[in-house]
Amino acid sequence: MTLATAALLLFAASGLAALAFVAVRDNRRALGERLGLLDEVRQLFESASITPGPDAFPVLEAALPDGRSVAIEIVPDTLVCRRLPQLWLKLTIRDPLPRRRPTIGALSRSTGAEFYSMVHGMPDRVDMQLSSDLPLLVRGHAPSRDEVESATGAMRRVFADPLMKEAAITPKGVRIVRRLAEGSRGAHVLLRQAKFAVRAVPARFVMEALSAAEDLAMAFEIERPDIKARLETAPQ
Amino acid sequence: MADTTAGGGAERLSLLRVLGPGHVWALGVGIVLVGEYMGWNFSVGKGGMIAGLVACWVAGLLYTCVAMIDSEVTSTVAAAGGQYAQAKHIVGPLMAFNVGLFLVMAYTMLEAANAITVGFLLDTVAGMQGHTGLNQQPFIILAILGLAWLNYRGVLATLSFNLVITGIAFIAIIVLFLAVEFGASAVPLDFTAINTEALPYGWLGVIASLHFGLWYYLGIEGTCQAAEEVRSPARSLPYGTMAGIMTLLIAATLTWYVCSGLIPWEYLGGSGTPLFDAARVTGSTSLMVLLFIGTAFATLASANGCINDASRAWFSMGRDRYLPIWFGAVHPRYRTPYRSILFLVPIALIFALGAPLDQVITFSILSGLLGYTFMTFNMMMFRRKWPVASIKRGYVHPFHPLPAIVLLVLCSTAYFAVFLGYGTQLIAMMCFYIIASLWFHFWRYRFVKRGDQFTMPWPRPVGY
Repeated sequence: MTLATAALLLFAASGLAALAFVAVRDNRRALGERLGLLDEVRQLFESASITPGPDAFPVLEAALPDGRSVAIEIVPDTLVCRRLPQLWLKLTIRDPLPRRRPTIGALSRSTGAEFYSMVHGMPDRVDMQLSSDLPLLVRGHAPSRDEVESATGAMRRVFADPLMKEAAITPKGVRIVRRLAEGSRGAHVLLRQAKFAVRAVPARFVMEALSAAEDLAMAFEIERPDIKARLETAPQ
Repeated sequence: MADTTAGGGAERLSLLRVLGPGHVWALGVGIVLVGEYMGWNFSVGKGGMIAGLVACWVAGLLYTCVAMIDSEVTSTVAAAGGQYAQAKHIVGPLMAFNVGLFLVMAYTMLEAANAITVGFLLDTVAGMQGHTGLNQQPFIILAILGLAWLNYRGVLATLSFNLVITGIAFIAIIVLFLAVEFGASAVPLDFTAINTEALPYGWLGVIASLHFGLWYYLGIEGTCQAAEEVRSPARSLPYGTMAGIMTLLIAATLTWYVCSGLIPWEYLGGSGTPLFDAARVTGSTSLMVLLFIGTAFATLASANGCINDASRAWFSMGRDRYLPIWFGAVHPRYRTPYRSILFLVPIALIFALGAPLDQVITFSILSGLLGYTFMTFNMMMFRRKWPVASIKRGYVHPFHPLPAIVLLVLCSTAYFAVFLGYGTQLIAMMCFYIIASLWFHFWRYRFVKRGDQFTMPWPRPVGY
């Protein structure tokens, strides 16, 4: 082996080693940063626990005073071709017992690749027009016309937020998916990296999502005529 | 990156980054720069020096039409997904299936071409060190498997590499040009062939060279279609893409100038790494090292992007049931379309190990051409079904239908150019897509959720 060959091999090996070092360092840093995303949100709940998900993004679980439970997950989405990476906040409120509610969900700007969505798993297509310029996929499980009408008003309010991606309600609970951050365009174009400009999820952002979830849930507590009538005639 | 509030704050920050000049440039150039490092020179082999330059500029015109047409449709179809989503809404599922295949094949073949180039580059460097006959295949396999593994695990998502890599690739071309212009080359530039053999195959050679002239820009429509989830109409303007096309035109002309001046066109037409070979001719070790790094970075970055995009397109077709839904699975930990990534690896390896570089490039170009051809009648149908005043458009491209007609004429010319010398590949690709379409129409379509294909709140199309 000549000196030039040895020098070349050493140069290449050094370069690869440097790249590997940078890769491992950046990966560890990114994983460490992920865990702290929901720290600010913890203070919204009396007893909240944060655990790392399988992809190291945090999952917050807490109990609400009325017996319901809430789960907040951060979901990275790099799966749509020709779209920037997205970071979704997925909020689920579960009721302790099933309630008399339909199963209806709406998904905005559907591409079919929403692996985190409940809507794609619902069997029936529902005709619900909320806005003339909002592409919406609405599905459910054989909802009645009254149930669709009850849902329309709340869905219209919920999807007035341009960051809203999915809103779904079932007898077991309510689901909201809202866009938390979008990936850096330059980083994505060059090396398909997913760089998000967020270090911590603001409590206000989660409050807005909670508000949307409650709005959707209340649509079937108040706007249903039979429930409303029962509430009005119930003994005091 | 500083802490920021989500919602409006993060969106404002992302818009600021989009508007930064470095990223506007990166929009257009990005991974497309690999076309300057390899492949384009086969156009010189098909038609001579001048033909290669003409092909470069004519291809620039073709891609300008692509950018104009694509910007209008992208700005109006709110759902992301590029031409695949456009086809679903404007033409139908069969066209969307074909467009998805175009994307997958174009990028998988480009990935294979990149891997071949890496192997060829290492073989060349080994030969310069006195170790001739290096087996390229292990390096080709290593490149594809290594990048596929990184994509499988989503590792690259956490890296901090950014403009530095593509900056090196672009700067290397500029440095080579300046070095040669200011006499740093042991061999002076020689353009006497322009007088003696300007068009060795005549004007037919000029037409034939358009085939590989597309390679300078192939994939640029992908960078301009890196859409936001919530699209602002002002962001639909194709300024970034036009800036990218102009940047590539300059880089392509510089590349042609340096390589044609240093390397006889007969040899340039068959080179695997023309820029690196040009650096070798100069005799400068520094230039050789710089162009080696530039070639390696450009090809590997391009291959990474191809694995990423091709797997996402295959994954999307699985999710839509155009393909078995098995391909639509997401890795529970890494959040990657792992089955699609794994499925496409052997396809890339077969072509990278079994086909010569010019044929692999031809397969990629043909798939891209079919996608551009689709865009012409897609645009015609779009304007006819939903005229300008009927739906809100973020951008309306001027002089319709002239860009679509020009694009169709240039695509037709490019098909004829491919036929000149690669007729077998042309027929083979057409047969592949016809057979695939028949399979989809007679078998696969029954599984598609037809109502979910069209989600835009547009009015009923004119005539329906």
